[in-house]
Amino acid sequence: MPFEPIDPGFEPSGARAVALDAAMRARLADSVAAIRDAAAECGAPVPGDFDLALAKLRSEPANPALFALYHDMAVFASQDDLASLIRLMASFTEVAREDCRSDGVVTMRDEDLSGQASRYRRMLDDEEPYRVSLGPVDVDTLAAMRVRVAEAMALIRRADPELASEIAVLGRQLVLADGAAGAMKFSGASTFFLWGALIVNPATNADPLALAETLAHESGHALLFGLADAEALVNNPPDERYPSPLRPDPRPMEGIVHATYVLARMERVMRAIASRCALSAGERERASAMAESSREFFLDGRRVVREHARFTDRGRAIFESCVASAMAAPA
Amino acid sequence: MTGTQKSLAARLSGKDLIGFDTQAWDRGGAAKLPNAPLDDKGRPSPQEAAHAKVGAKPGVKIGIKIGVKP
Repeated sequence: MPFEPIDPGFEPSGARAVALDAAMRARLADSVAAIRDAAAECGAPVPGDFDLALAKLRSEPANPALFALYHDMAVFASQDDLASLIRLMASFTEVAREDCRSDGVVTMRDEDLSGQASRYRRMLDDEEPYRVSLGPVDVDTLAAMRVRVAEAMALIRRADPELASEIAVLGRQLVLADGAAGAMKFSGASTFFLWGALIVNPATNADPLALAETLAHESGHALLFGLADAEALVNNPPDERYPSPLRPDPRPMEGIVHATYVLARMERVMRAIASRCALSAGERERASAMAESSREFFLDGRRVVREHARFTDRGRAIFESCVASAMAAPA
Repeated sequence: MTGTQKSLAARLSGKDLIGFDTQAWDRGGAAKLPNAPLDDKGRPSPQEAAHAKVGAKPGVKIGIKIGVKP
């Protein structure tokens, strides 16, 4: 890999996020090229501008839909479904060669997501006990949320400029999704297979403080995907279950480590907002209470992690930096 | 496919595809992965089995925020 090892530290960095983004795009391009080569060896025609698409992917911020298309290409390849793979290679080429129209605050509809809204939903809503709905929001909600996102990002930028820069890269695309029809509520979502996109539910992010916390949370997951190179942080088998600091259902250790890490970011951002932003007394009190709540849940998660996690080397370095930073911060 | 030709999955077995564990793709993938998650009755849960089937690595689809515990 032509990239320098990336600092696993907890301290946010916009420059590191840019480097991570370049590394993930390069890894995606290499992976897609490997699938293309294998398909060609099996007699599949390769779209004429496929190499141009890969070159564009390597050279500039990419449409998150490409990661989802890659996911499905890999699935079809694993199933020896050459015909479906050929169709997706054409779609991949088409989306990759579009001028990047995917940035900013959009909603879960095809015209905003290069025709891939259903694929976005499938990347996210895949957990049987927690099926969520991910519908598009209406025009008024979209307009109101664009203002709210600007307000939340202004708070974060004032409180923690590097964190704001990091979120701007890791969440270049903020996809608003209506969760009202689902069995379970959700506030936000993210997956490596939509790298560059963060999903936000407007109904549970009804003001800039709540939204700032969710952006710190979801971008924390994305940061972990990148810092770990989409590898696991722990060696615990995924069928093991442990109490979660955030969710009522027992979770795999990978999820516990993720939850604990993002709680540290939530505490960090809300403390910084409480101390550095121009807020009303009520807002300041609420921001402090949100930080305190995250702190308690972080400590819960840390106890479970300390007792049961069997870290990879990279996972340990990432998590130890998180704990060192969180424990050094004034509570 | 003749006996001497490798399947698409077999050609990718062991390759570095980000987010996927391809080690068992030449042996049918799914069921042979060592860490395929099981439910409390010892069966793969439907969603996680779907991941395990193609070897999506743990940790790549984990970031959903579903409310904080009261």
